[in-house]
Amino acid sequence: MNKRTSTHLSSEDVNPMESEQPLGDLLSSWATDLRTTVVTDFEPAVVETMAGLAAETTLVSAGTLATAAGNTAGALTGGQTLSSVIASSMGKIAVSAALATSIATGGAVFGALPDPLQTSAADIAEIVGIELPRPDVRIDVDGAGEVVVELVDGVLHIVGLDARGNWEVSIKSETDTTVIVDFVSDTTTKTVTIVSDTVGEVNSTVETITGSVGSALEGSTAVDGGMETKTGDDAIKVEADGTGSTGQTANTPGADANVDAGVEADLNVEIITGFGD
Amino acid sequence: MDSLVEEAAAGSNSAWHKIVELLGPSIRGFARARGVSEPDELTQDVFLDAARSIGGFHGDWAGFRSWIFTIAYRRIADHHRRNARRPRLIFDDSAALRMPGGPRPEEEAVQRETIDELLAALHNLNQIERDVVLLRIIADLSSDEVAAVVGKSPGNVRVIQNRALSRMRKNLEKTCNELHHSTIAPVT
Repeated sequence: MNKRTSTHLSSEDVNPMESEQPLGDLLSSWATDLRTTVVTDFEPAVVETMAGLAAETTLVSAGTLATAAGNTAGALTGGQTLSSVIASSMGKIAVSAALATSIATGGAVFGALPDPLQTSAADIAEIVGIELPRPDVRIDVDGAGEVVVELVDGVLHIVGLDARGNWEVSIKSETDTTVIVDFVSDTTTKTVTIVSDTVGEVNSTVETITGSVGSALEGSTAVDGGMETKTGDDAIKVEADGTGSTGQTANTPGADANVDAGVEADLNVEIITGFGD
Repeated sequence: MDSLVEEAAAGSNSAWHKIVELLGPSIRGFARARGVSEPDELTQDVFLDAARSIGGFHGDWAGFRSWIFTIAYRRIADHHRRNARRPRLIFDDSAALRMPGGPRPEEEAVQRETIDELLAALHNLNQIERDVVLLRIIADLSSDEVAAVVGKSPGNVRVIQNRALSRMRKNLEKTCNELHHSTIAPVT
């Protein structure tokens, strides 16, 4: 039976919530319960095994495997095969036998290994100078959806596009090394740029443009850009739901329109409490 | 603590022993809360990944914690992506996959049920909100450290966290009120 770790919430954790609710807050209780339930100590034997493997892997990665890679890059002599070099270098590492066999038989080259093995294969093959396909790269686009790409022979491929809720997704451009995808909602456009570099790393950036530029107010008509308008006798109040753009202005005959999308968003953040530092 | 990282990078068994002891339970806990079916195996993979790359790591203990949870975060994402596109095994291989010394299946089932009940409070959060909350609570990372793990700015993480916690608080209060009303039945 695992022993439960004693847990506590630091003062940093509970501070913002104390200002609104007394100690014993539901959220604090929930957090403590969750941590106590899921964070349990390992048995000593498990710690021993994991630490031993990690220490050995560190040594192998730092020294023995590099030597083996050098040997392989030069020539496989004396009956050596790639698999035997890798297998002997990896020693007790659990994946080594399956990995070596798969590389020798071509399993890893065609991306047929389960992903953890594929990743290990790609890491090791990188050292010995063979390029293997890497597992898919998933890019989460801040709640709008996700893009999944893979890099095969230095060429980026889109494997999956998934738009959530009221978002729509479209491919803006696609070359061997760069993919640009747009996620568009009523009020926001998120442009994801995915680039592969010469060493096979895939990097992504997300640019967000919020609000509908040029939306105009006339009389009591609604404002574009996810905002809500409330009209009175001589004024129009516009409220944004946290994502409205700032700086919009509008002129309505006979009434002044003041658009300040940031006020509601800021207020929202202040009202909401958290563990936060 | 900083010397621990240096010693681990040099291949010290005792340093890795301490690191596994200190960080292993939180990594496994995070994996459990994120629904990983074999959290022990994933934790071991995280340490093996870290061991392979620690030579390239430069930083203090806090940086090391963020770094190792970044590995865990990516591993978990890979795990779910892999499971989403592969059919589930129809036979129960949990006994074969279980780490020696780990909880027995019946204990695991009870624990899983408790965890599921607790995680129900997260049901209307999106994935990044869940991750931020879980990393703060289970991994005990600061907002800045969470930002490094999930690849967002610290300010963005604070906003995500605040919104998530606000929604969760409402959920929990609603659930408590419902329970309260259902247990005090009106006399007819």
